[in-house]
Formats: sequence, C-alpha cells, structure tokens
Amino acid sequence: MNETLKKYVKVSLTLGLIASISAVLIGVANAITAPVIKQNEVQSEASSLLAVYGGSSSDYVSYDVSDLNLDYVTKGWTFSPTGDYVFKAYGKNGYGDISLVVGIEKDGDLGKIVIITDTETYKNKLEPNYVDAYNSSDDKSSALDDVKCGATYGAKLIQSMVTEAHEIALGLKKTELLAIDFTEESENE
Amino acid sequence: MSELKKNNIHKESFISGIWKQNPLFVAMLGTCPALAVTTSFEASFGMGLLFLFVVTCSNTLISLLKKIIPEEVETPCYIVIIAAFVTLTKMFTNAFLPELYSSLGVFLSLLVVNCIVLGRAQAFANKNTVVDSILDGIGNGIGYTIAISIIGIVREILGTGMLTIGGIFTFIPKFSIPVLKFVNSSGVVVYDYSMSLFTNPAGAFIVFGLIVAIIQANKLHQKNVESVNKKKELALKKSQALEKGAN
Amino acid sequence: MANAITAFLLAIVSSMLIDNVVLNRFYGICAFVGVSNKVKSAFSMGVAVVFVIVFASLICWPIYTFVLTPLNIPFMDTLTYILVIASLVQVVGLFIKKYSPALYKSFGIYLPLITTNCAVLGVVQNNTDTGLNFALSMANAIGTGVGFLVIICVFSFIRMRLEESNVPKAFRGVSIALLTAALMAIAFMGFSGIIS
Repeated sequence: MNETLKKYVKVSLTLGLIASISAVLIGVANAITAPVIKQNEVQSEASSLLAVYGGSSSDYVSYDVSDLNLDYVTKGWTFSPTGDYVFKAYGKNGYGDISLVVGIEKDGDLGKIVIITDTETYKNKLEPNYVDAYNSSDDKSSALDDVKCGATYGAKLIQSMVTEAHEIALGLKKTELLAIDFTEESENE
Repeated sequence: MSELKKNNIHKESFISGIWKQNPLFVAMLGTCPALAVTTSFEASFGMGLLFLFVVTCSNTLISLLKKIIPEEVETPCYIVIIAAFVTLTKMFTNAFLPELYSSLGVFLSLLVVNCIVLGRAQAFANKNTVVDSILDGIGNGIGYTIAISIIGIVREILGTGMLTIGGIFTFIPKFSIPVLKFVNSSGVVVYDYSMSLFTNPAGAFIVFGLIVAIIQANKLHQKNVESVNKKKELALKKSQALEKGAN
Repeated sequence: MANAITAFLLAIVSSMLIDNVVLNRFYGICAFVGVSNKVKSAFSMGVAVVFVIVFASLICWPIYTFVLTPLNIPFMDTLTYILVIASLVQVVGLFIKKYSPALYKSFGIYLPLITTNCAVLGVVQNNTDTGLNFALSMANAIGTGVGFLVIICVFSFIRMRLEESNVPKAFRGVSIALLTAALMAIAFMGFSGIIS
C-alpha cells in the first residue's frame, strides 16, 4: 500500500511540476506580448485607413455609427480634406471571417477596399481574383457584382458589407440633403 | 580516445539531423506543414525557424527533466511541454511577426502534433544529455528548414515566376527577383512563363513527389555503384586466388 | 429553419468536396501517405478518425466558449485541445479493446497515431480561430471526418492497383503515391466555386 501511494504521490508531483512550469512560461509570454498585440491591431487599422485615401491619420475624423442597426459596419470616419467616408466592416461566413475598410466618396461612388484580416481558407483566391480586380476597375459597382472567382462565398460577404456601407453613406448624405431640402427620396448613386 | 569519441557523438547527432536523417525527406515526418505553407519561400523559411525553436526548446526541457518523468505518464508530459512552447511561439509570433502569423494560420498550432517534435522527444531527448539534445534539436531544425525552403523556392519560382523577399519579414526592404516572369517599371509584363498550378495544392504534391523520387533515385544509384564496386573486388580477389593456385 | 438546415448540409458538403480536408487543406497527410494498401485497415482508421473528430469538437467548442473565453485565457486553447484529444483517443482505445478485441488488433499502431493526426487538432483549432458558432463547427467536424474517410478509402484502392503495376524504380513507394494524390487534387479543383 505504501509503495503504490508513494508512486501516486510521485506521479502527481511530477505532473504538478510540469504543469506549473508550463503555466509560468505561458504566463510570462502573455504578459510580454499582449500589449504588443493590441498595439499591432490599432496600427494595422490605422495603416489600412491610410491606404484608402492617403494623407495622415489625423485627417480621419471618426463618425458615430453605433446608433444605427448594422450587421457588418463597426466604425466610420470622414476624411476631412475631401469629405469622403471610410467604413470599417467585419463579417463571418462558413469559411472564416473578413475585416476590411472601404472608402465611399461623398457623391456616393464606391471607393477602394483594403482588407485588414481574412481568415478564410479561400483567401488566396479571393484577393487576386476579386478584390484586386475591383480596386483596379473604373466601374466599381459592376465590378462588385461580378462574382466569378473561386471564392464566391467570401465575395458575397464582401459584397454585402460594401452595400451596407454604401447605404450608410447615402443615408448620411440623405440627412445632409434633408437638412437643406425635403424633396429628394430616390436611392440612386 | 574517449574525448574524441564524445566529440564525434556531438558532431554526429548534429550532422545526422541535417542530411543523412533529414526529418522531412528521409524519415517522411512532418509533411503537413511542408505542403501547406510552402506557397512562398519566406513563409516556409519562417516556419522552419519557428520549428527549430520549438524542437530545440522542447528537447532541452525534456532532457533536463528526463530523470523525474515517470514512464507511465511520459506521453502526456511531453505533450504538455511541447504545447507550452508552441503556445509561447504563437504569442511571440503574433506580437513581433504578425504577417508570418497570419500566413501560417492554423499550422503554427499544428506544430504540437508534429511527428518530428514528438519523435525526437521520445527517441532521443529522454535518453541523452542536455548538450546532445540541444545539438540534435538544432540539427533537425536546420535540416527541416533547408528541406522546406527548397520546396518553397521551387513552388514560388514555378508558380509565380518571381522570388519575393521582404513581404513577410518586413524589416527587409521588399524586392522581387524575376525568374520566369518579368514586369518592367511601368507595369507592363514583358514575359510570363509561370505556371499557377504550382501555387495550388496539386502543385505541392507534384513538387514533393518529384523531390522524393530524386532522392530515392540518388540512393539507388549509390547502392548500384556500391554493389558494382563490391563485385569488382570479389572478381579481383577470385582472379588473384586463381593465379596463386595456378602458381 | 430550412435556411439553417441548408447551411448545415452545405457546410458538410463543402468540407468534403470543395475545401477537401486532405487534398486542399492538407490536414491528414502523414496518415494519408503512410496508409497501408489494405482497404480494411484504411477504412477502420477512417472511421476511428471520424469518431475522434466529432467527439473532440463536441467537447472542445463548449470548453472554449464557456470556460476559456470568460476567464480571459484564450491562448490556453491549444494545450487544452491536445489534452482532450489525447485522453479521448485513450478512452476510445479502451472502449474498442473491451468490446471487440479483434478490431483493436487490426488497428494496431494506427490508434495512437490518431492523436498526432493533424486533421483532428486542425479542425478543432480552426473552429475556434475563425469564430464559427456551434452548429457550423459540428458541420465542419462531420464534413471533415467523412471527407477524410472517403479520401483514405479511395486512396487505398488506388495504391492497391499501383502495387501491381510496373512503376519505375525511383518512383516506387511514397513518390508515386504523392503524384497520384496530385492528380486527385487536380480533379477536386474542379469542385471549387460550386457553391455560389
């Protein structure tokens, strides 16, 4: 009885030692890296904003979109030199999630898309076939609908995110117009 | 004499991991990351370096604790230690090399179940000294990095036509070496002989299969040369014996 | 309701055909390349893998959502998952040993090898990395398991034929198996884009 007890005590002590070594290692690593990771996130958001319209980060004034009932868009900015809008959107589908910023010009035309993170398994088909083609085309709204890449689910997700951002921009534009005159209610771009 | 032998053992455990017992091409272990992350040279090189770190650290710790770990709970203990180091690697990579982290994806976590890491722990680190285990870990890591980088270079050059450096390790200024595809400074494609099959999964299988075939052909050739030499020696001895007998 | 069922079935089909677990995502390659030429052992290993993947996802997703995230330690996921998987494989092994010793013998070395199968940990980790909800995680797991089973059986059939044909000496063994897998991967590339 004593022998088996000793064996169990020895085994559990060893396991406890190994578990505590691992916990210490992971805890120290977490303490070192967690603030750096947060800073990286903020910086990647800032640099993707700059990639849409250029300028410097102080040109982007944030706009409150939290009172609207939104599926994808999480933040909005106005680019103060020209008055264009930039929206950040986040969405999930069955293959992963996408987080991007899209620029909408103040007269309602669609602007550039810059993807921040894309964890889909098909991301290497999505970006060259869809996003790059969209960014380099002149007629962006038909390029948005031209979903003919090997990653149709991801493209549809981006399509819905950009459409929602577009509607918000038109809505903001509408409230500006409404402030001036009450006649227009059409939804053309 | 024993000093020389000890040095030879150190050297042997280091060199064997690099070429003779290369974990990827000879022992055929750890093939999942070797096919999945090798779409670009930089990603595969980064994966190799992280693998080197994990294997060395886990070998060291297991060799330090080898007298304490009882035999019944060997495997779970090794798994916990390896998982701790992999989590540590993940966190540091996420913090300091975020592009590498996002291009490796889930395969960084899969280093935990990489057969090589577990294999070296069970076959080598729990029987040998700490110094030998460290050398063995570094040797295996270097061998794996070389092997996986070869696949990465071949796939990237054949698949995209250019060798891009600086895309993931952003402290290096980004430049591309044109091999099969050349785009001049105004953006016009001068020539493009790249085959995009090689950036697809099918291309990974093709490249890996061909490299294994080349190595196997080399081995067969060596065996052939050896057996031919042996036959010559035997024939020489026979003819010498006959001459002696005739005399 | 119909929408949810459609999404569920679609997720299963996509893990099996479109985003194939072995040929596209490269998850079970070690076992895939080392699988024996006998169809029976390949089939039994595939069934065991399906079991382990489904139960592992069933256990690990709630652990991540209800234990790790509220306690603010999401980085402990890899460690937790691999411990769960290792113990699950032990439990499955004991179960099989008790109820069917012949089957246990036919598994041989393959049962402990399931612990180091990238597919199991890969699917479980992927489910929580990409933030899928419970139904989609289970669909992903079932699809991956069944896809792995189908591919491994097909591949062992093909390898059986390859054994009898006259392969050049340098290509014998693993090399010709990999090139065959390449052809299969090209065939499966045709499925991409099928869901729109």
